[in-house]
Amino acid sequence: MRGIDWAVLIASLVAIIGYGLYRSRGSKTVASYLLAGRTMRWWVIGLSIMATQASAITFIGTTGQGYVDGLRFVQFYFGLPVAMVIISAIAVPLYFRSGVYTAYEYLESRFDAKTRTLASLIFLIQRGLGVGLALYAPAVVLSVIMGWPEPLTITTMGGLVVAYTVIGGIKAVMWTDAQQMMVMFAGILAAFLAAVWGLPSDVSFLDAIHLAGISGKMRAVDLSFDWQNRYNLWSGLIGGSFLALSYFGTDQSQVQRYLTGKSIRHMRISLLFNAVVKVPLQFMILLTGALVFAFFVFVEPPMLFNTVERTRMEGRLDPTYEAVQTRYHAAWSTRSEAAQKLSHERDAGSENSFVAANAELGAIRQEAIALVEQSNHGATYNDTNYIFLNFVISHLPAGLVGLIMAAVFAAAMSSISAELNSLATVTVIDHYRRYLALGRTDMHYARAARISTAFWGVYATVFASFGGQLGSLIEAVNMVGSLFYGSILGAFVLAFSRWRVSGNGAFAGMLAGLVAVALTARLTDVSYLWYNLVGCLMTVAVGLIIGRGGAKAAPAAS
Amino acid sequence: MRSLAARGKSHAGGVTRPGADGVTPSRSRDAAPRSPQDFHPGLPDSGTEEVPPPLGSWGSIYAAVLAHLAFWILLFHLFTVRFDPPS
Repeated sequence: MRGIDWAVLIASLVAIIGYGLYRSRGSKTVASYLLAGRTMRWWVIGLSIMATQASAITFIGTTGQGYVDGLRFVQFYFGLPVAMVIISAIAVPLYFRSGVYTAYEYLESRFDAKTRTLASLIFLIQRGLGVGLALYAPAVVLSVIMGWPEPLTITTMGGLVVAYTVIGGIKAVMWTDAQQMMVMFAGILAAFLAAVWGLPSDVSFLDAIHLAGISGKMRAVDLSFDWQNRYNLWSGLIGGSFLALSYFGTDQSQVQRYLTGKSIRHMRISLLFNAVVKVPLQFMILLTGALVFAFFVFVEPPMLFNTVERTRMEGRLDPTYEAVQTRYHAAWSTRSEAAQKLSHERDAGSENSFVAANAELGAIRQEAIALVEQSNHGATYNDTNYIFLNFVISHLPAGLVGLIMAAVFAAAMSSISAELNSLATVTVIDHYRRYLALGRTDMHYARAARISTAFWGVYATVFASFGGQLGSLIEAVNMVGSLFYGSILGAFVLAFSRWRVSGNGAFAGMLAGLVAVALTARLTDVSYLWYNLVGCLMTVAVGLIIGRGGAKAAPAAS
Repeated sequence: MRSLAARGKSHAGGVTRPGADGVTPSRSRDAAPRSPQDFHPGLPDSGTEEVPPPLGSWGSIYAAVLAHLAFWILLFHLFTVRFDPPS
């Protein structure tokens, strides 16, 4: 990075955090520290919801996915607008009128304390593991790209996030989220335009799309149905709806964003804003990745995008690796010539030549990856998350690099701050105030919330610092996260319904849902997007059977 | 709406929402968990809205959002048909 890039990056971070802290002054009560006094407007909430979901890995990984796999990942987001409509229509009025601080607090009002406690404990475990990962994963990539030591990246990013989250509470988190999301919008747009302008002068935008298309990267919609296929229209619409319902409707890191809304109207519009913007935005991010692919058809890409691994492999002076590298260079030249020819004569022969050259280049890269894995004692090598930043650092003009790096930092910090804030809220409201310190003053709980935020921040930083030694635990963390959502959603479906279900029924249903999802994951090849549907249906079914006719009545209709 | 917001009186009938000023106790903060009868799922929201929803009714907005999704899916499908050659 050059001087102007550093200036843009540092100025963005200082301005965003400074403004967030300025807007958060006076957050001294629990209501203002954790729910912004319920005064937030829809656009701040809407941007905060979007920024919370968009982690740094989402930002850089999605473009990488567009490069490797094309546009099909966009189908994952088709369920989001459906879920937003359902949450707006059903959950928002109930949350608003109940005046709760956490989603799980609502479960106690509807069922009992144990159901609330189980749901909130699952959240603490799931998010507690996730927040360390949310800091570690982007720190690894940024360290490699920027040449920083990992501990420096982790402590810089972690320290900044913890500081403004502890000081300013949710107002600081949401105002910084809103600014960070705008920086991300600018970064995405800049990268998209840079990829288009980076094409040779005789290659048009449509030529680039055509090249990506014949390489299998323009399949945005797949109408076929397959339980094992992760991304098709049906898994996106049905499985994606259940996942989005769980995440946006029951996960405190998201629910807390719209609980700060000043009215039902503001809460609803913030969610519907996401429903409208998210799908085209994801398409644009993926398309940027596909355009980066087209860019690298004419500019030679590195054989390995992870610079640390590339330098290590080159330093070994292994003749096999060097031979693969020579063949890679020749194969890229062949593909580039085929692409040039294709952009002038779009006929079947030219297309076939390009497709064959592209397949050859891909096969040689796989050979290189196999050599890397072999030299690392079989450890999996995946450089998808490095592709986009490699393109940015190596090929974008000064200033733009700083803007995009600011967007990556913004994406990381917005997710982490929201997670810290929600973890602290659940710790204090659902556990400390509920069981450990009843009847204390408002100031006491506000102080406890600050201490809890700092605790979770330090925990996340320490967890991330040991991330390199966790190995396969990281995959396990991601896996565990997807196991819980369905059961929690099932409990909320029971809670929001008018069915007569007792607390015991809901509790047993949640346990049954967890077991059903664990068995589905263990015994079948069903894609993870369907786990939420399985968990939710099992929870509701068992809840209705066991809890039917229980002591607790359904909510009154009038 | 903006002026109402500035005065912190956006809630129904000009009543400040409990807890919104950071001083008025929130119902949930200091009170014991309330009975389920305090919740009213399925009731219209008109009692808590300061102004009507943008397109006249929330149902119209939801329909518009879903139509917007259908539009994008159709567009992406046409995009796929145009640029993704059959294998």
